[in-house]
Amino acid sequence: MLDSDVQIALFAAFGGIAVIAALAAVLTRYLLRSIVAFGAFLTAIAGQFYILAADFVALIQIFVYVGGVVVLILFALMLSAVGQKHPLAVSEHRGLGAVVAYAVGGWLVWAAFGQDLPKAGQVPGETVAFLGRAFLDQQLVAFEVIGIILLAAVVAALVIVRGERL
Amino acid sequence: MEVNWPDWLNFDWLDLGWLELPWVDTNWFHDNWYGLLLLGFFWGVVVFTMVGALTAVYVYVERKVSARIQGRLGPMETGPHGLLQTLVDVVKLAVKEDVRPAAADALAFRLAPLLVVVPAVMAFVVVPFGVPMVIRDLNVGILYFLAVPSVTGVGLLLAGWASYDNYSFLGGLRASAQFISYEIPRTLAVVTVVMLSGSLSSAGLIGAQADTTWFVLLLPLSFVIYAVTTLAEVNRVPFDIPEAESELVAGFHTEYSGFRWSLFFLGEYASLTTASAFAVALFFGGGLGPVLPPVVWFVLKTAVIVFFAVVLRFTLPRFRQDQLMALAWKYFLPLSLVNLLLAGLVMKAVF
Amino acid sequence: MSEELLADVFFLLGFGVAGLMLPMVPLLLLRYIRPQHPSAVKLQPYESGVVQTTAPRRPFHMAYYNFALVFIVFEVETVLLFAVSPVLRDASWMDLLKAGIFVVLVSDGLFYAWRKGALVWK
Repeated sequence: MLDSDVQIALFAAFGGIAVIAALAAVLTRYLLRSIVAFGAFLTAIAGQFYILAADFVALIQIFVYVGGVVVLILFALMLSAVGQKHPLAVSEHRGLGAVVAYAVGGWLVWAAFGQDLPKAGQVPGETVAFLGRAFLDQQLVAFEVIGIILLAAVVAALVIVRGERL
Repeated sequence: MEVNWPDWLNFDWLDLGWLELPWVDTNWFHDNWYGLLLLGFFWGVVVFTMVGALTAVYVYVERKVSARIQGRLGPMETGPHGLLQTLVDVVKLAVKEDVRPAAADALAFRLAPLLVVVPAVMAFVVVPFGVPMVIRDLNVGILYFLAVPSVTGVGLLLAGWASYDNYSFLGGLRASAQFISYEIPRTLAVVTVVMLSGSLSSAGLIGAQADTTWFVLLLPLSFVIYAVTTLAEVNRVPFDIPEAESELVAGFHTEYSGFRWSLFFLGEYASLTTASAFAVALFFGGGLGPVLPPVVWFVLKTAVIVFFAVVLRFTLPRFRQDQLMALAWKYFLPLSLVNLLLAGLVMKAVF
Repeated sequence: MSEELLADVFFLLGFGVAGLMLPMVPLLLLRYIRPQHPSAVKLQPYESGVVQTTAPRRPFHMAYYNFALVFIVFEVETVLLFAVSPVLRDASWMDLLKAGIFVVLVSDGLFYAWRKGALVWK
């Protein structure tokens, strides 16, 4: 039967894959393998979204992140000369990095467990239509602001990458 | 997705009904998670085998058509009119040595062909073969069709990088740069179709066309954008600069040989098939048509489009890299943005 | 509803496993049939019949990264339009205008990039 037990079990399985992939991404000293593991991590998260009835978000995750951001990071890897044939050297800023990483990690754990998260309501039948309607009504301002942010992102990207002046 | 089908479209005998054999309890496949896994696995095997067989047919057809255009005979020796040539080629590829350059990154080298072929085959899940028949009618089927094959871009880049070869590296970079550039106009062309169909499910898409008419009549510009950008996405001539034999020695798969090389080949033909099949579903009413059963109509229409792509390959010269990028960003992207607004007007006029 | 989506995930998992196994299993089995005689010369990367003169993994063309950045911005735009597009058919002119404003806003980015010459392949 496809009851909530099965749902939780599958969710946990994807979570396990995500954790393993994330650890692999952080622990490997080959930059390329780290990026591939990151891609696997994103795919596992997409699976979790789908299980939670957010099918649209799950596919966006694959479309934008796996098909877009991972390619971008790979391009970045190919632009730089580091970590290509030989493993990365261990950074001398290890200690400071660890402090920052643990602080951010602890803060995220606190945020996840320390808050009174709202319970999920009824899942709408047509998820995409629900989302689209929301963008045009209640979330209209957010929708248009995203447009402006994307515009700013293009300008910023060109300013940084090409050293253009505004 | 509930669709009210016109009566004359009901060809129940071509639906999944054949699975309901008297000695099989089909509900079992849909009620249990292991049943669903098995069902998915079964369809995966069926689709993969079908893609393999289709590729063999394509290779033969492509060689014969090219021979015809160039005034040659093409394969003639093995079997009548060379019909067995592809079969022999498959055996040859299977037993060929698998060479991997010593300097290559072993993991990425093995992973890359899989990243190209698996998404291309997985896209078949949402192709609406018959009028009500889709292997699995996802709520967001059309987005699935665009999202899953987009992983291929990573595979191309990895293949070129892993080989440790100048030609492969350049080919991989070019391939994925082209892949991402043409993805945006292509997606925007599909968005206009979604506007008219009112749902992201592939069955709903055919239903909307049954209610109105073929969308190619309402959105001709969208079809042109989709067709050209799709040729670029699947690396077909005139957009095959990433694997141009004469200048890049086959680009990102220069270093691949034997069965591993054939996976790239399989992936390329699989994505050509899904893209053509989806062109039929998006613009030519899928399996809609009189007299003949929908599946037959669907296969016929898809065959025409694939044939067109094959003929193009031997008719047009290829673009230069800078022309290729300019075409995507300076012509097709603005054109598809204008097309979005046009489609809005068409939609208001029709509905 | 959510049960149906859960069923989709299991189906796609089964399909994906089949998709991975069908190329991989023959690849493993054929290992016992195909010849395997590597030699130092055979394992060199191909370079038109000469020994490789330059290492391929060197810092490369900036243009690729540039295009990839602009690509991500437009991909996010198309994805948002995907969410809005199914409801537009039965929507009012006002709703259409709202979506139109969004499209025009993002198109500005394209024209900016164009005018700055970022779309030229160098």
